[in-house]
Amino acid sequence: MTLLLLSLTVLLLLGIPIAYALGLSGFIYFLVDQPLLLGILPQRLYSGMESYSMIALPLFCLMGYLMNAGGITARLIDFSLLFVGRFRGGLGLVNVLSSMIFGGISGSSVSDTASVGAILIPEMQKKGYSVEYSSGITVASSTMGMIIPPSVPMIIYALAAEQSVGRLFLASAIPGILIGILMMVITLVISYRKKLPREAAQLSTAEKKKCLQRAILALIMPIFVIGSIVLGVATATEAAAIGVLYSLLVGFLVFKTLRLRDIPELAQKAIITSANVMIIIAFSKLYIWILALERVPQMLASGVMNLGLPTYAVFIAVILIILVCGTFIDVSPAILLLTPVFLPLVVAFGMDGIQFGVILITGLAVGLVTPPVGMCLNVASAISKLEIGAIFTAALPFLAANLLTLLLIAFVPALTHWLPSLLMP
Amino acid sequence: MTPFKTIIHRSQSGLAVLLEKTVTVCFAVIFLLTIMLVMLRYLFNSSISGGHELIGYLFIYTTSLGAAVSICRNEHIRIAYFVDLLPPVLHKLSRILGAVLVAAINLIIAYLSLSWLSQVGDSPSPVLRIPMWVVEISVPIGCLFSVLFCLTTIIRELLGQEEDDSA
Repeated sequence: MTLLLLSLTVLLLLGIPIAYALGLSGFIYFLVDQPLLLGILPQRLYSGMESYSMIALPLFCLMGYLMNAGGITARLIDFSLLFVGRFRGGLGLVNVLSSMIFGGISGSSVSDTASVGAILIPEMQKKGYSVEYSSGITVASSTMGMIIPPSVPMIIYALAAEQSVGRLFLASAIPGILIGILMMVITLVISYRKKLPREAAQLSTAEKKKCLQRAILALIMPIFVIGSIVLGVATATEAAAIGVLYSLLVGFLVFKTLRLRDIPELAQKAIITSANVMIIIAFSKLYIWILALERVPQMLASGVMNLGLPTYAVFIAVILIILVCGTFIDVSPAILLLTPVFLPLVVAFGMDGIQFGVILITGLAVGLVTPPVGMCLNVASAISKLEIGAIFTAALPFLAANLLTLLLIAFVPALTHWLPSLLMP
Repeated sequence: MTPFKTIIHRSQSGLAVLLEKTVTVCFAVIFLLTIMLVMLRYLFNSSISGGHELIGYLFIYTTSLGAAVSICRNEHIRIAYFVDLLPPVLHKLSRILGAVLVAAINLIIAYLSLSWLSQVGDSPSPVLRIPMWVVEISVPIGCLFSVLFCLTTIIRELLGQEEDDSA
């Protein structure tokens, strides 16, 4: 067992792709400890790829790409401006609100940074906001992309933890919205302190109506997708396929911005992204199988229980481990590596799989905006030409919203339990 | 670029494009079948026999072949932070070592698949009744393409492809 973890750590540090690092360390384990079981390697790999529910993954990715290619970002920003533009530091609030809505459509934080940042970072600079502030608020608010449902990482967690996708989507809605509200409060405080400008232009009723009409078709999509899963009308895979069809129809017939020649490229991007995640899932099944064979999760849980630590100390320790892992490991592999180890531990201390899933995703989202490997930081750096250290420093005040919400989710279970028990009893 | 390097480069790119197109077509079929199944269920209270099974099998192929393409495109998820801190020579060595190790695990899985397929490959699938080896063979096929891409990557690294590309 020590050999498995040691070889995995060395291979990961050597920069070997995570999927193959898992495969190689599994092979070393079998070769040394269980040579008679070596033959099950391809069978385990195959069974890891055999998951009907994971077909939702490329479909949800494609849905987000199509909406983005259809020019949804500018519409959502205009829509957000309508509601929060009049307040001091209005564009900062627009940035947060746009990310909240965009999160419900794309399910990805990185595409949120790229899409919203590409429009709002230059726009905010033009209106007198500092480039550090504009970039910092963009990356911090984009963390909501993978928390607010529908969320691609939630689907991966649902598979790893054998939880209901619908319940996870519902459970993450309140924490996602809470982060958004807290970020808006922080933005307002900073805006009044720094005397940031308001958006002066007052729209007429006709203009407001037009703005609403331009955004409404995108706004109802996440409700439509989540609603169909929650109400049992469709499975997650079917809901994602309907979401893709909806995005195609809206992009071609209503927005009229989607081009036929873009579709194969977007579909290819979605399926290759999915293959990259699926191959990690397939190899991680081998790793999970070995952990179960060696009874590692049970040993960890009983070991920690024997320490006699209070529950809150265990939860805080788990959150800290998630935050540290998130700074070095990408979200999908982190979910697959951490879930089999820590889920049995927190369950032993009274937490359920749904609550842990929301904690895990919320914690890992912070990793996207922390150096050295925060993907959102890299994207924002490419847009603003700022060093990632400067962007991270500017994002820190806003990340207080994520950290506070993380603690609230861990210690107030109702935040994650209430909505699923209400709508999916 | 020397003719040998050009041949290696073009073969690798050509094969990757072919595999990309194959997985994209599989994905399109998956999407269309899923939509058709939903529509048939709600509009006609009907279904396509083996539809879900076919979708699942196509998805397995997209994963096997897509993972191989990602090796060629160097798009696999990894922790690159520590390796990126190395000086250029060691960085290049780590890339070659990485390609060798990835090729090794893929070759091992492809080899082990032979006995696995011979044992269970003839059993029919639950609904379509096709022999399971038709689907299961996607594992060694994907692994062998991965080995091929790793080998071309190693050759390109040894021939100094990076210098050529940057020049």
